[in-house]
Amino acid sequence: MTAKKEAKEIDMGKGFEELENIATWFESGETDLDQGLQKFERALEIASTLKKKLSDAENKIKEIKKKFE
Amino acid sequence: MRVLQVSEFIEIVNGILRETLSGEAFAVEGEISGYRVNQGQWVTFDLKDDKSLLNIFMPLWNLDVPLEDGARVKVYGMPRIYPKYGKFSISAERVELSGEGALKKALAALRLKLEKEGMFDAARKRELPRFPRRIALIASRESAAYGDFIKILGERWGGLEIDSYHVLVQGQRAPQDIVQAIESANSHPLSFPLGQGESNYYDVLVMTRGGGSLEELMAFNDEKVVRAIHGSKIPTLVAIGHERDLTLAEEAADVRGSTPTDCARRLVPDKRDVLYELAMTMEKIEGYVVAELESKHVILERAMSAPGVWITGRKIELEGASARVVSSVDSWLDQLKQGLTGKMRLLQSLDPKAVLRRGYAVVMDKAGKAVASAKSLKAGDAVKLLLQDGEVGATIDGGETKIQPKLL
Repeated sequence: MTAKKEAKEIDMGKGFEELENIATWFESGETDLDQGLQKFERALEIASTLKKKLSDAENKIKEIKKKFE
Repeated sequence: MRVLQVSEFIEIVNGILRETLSGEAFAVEGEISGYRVNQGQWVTFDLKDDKSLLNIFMPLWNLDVPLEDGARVKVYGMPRIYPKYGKFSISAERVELSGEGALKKALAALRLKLEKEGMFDAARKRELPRFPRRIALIASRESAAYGDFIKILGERWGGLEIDSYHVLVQGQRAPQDIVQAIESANSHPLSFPLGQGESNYYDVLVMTRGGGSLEELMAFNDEKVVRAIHGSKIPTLVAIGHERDLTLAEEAADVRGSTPTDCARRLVPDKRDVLYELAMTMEKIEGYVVAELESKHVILERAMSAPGVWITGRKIELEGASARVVSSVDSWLDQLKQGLTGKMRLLQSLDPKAVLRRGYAVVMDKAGKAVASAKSLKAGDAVKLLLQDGEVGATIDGGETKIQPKLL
């Protein structure tokens, strides 16, 4: 499904890192508006994916059956 | 006389022993010699004092303390004759190290030894990833610790892939079980889909169990277990027992949790916190974008209104200039007027008639010319005196003429 595809596309750690980078870019006082809007759009995309990931996903538990040899 | 078969006899003796000794709890204390483990499951040793010797037999899984020859122990169990060999022994249910704090002493010595080897060095401890995904969990599946850990994990976070390695967490076989699980997890090829640049290993190796007595927690003080944790390629998070219990395995781990619940908290953040942080970050970014747009808007507006402002400026300059011209003309005229008045006053003061009004008279000859010198007149000359209101004729009577000498 799309959720799984998105989960593959944006890893939680990397997503957060990218978001922080975008925030830092804005903080540094860059003034290229086109680039800024582009980054803003990307930030929105990441944020909504991470949010969805956080809200939807369940933890999966698998038993390691074989008596580890 | 009663004749008994061997089996019957042994059965009777064993019965008597059971009946006699089961009434009260007892333990036999002595020193170990000839300690052996047979077929990986049976422990035998001799328990001695100065005068006597007793055979001890026990299943390995009943043993939860490290034993060696020379150790002083208390053995709990039932004595009996083993029918097959006719051998008298105690079948032990439990063995305790004897002497006040013997186990603690052994543990302290091991801690010191491992510490000297640098097993607990803070400098080599790795940080756990902030958002782990693939977890190897080493615990007893039936334990409350397992249930607590999974429950808290579910409340805090989602999307974890947890591989559960079920192990014995106490008893003589527990250390081996645990070491195998650690090694297995460290070499386990992951079946989860890998993200870009992700390693083929678990993100974190978690080991946990609930509280217990020092004896029950001994598997986590086992030297082999401590070395396996220390040697794990995967970052380790270990939480054993209650808050106050500190096992060597925990000290060797990269991160220590105080309880299974705390262990879950240290493994993953609370998604509510992360959602909040996410919202705050987005708010911050949005704020920057809005501010940026506003500043662009201001610049644009300034640009749009600039020509109008310029014209207004020129207009004001023009008005100023013309006002300056008008006022300078005015003052020029004033000056002119003042000059004129001054001259008129001067002229007025030069008017001879003004002198006549003060009582002076002008003497004129017949021709009507003003006489300015006494020398030009002699007796009998007819003159005219000009006064302020008219003329009157007169004749010079020839009186003395005085000529004033010129001073210069």
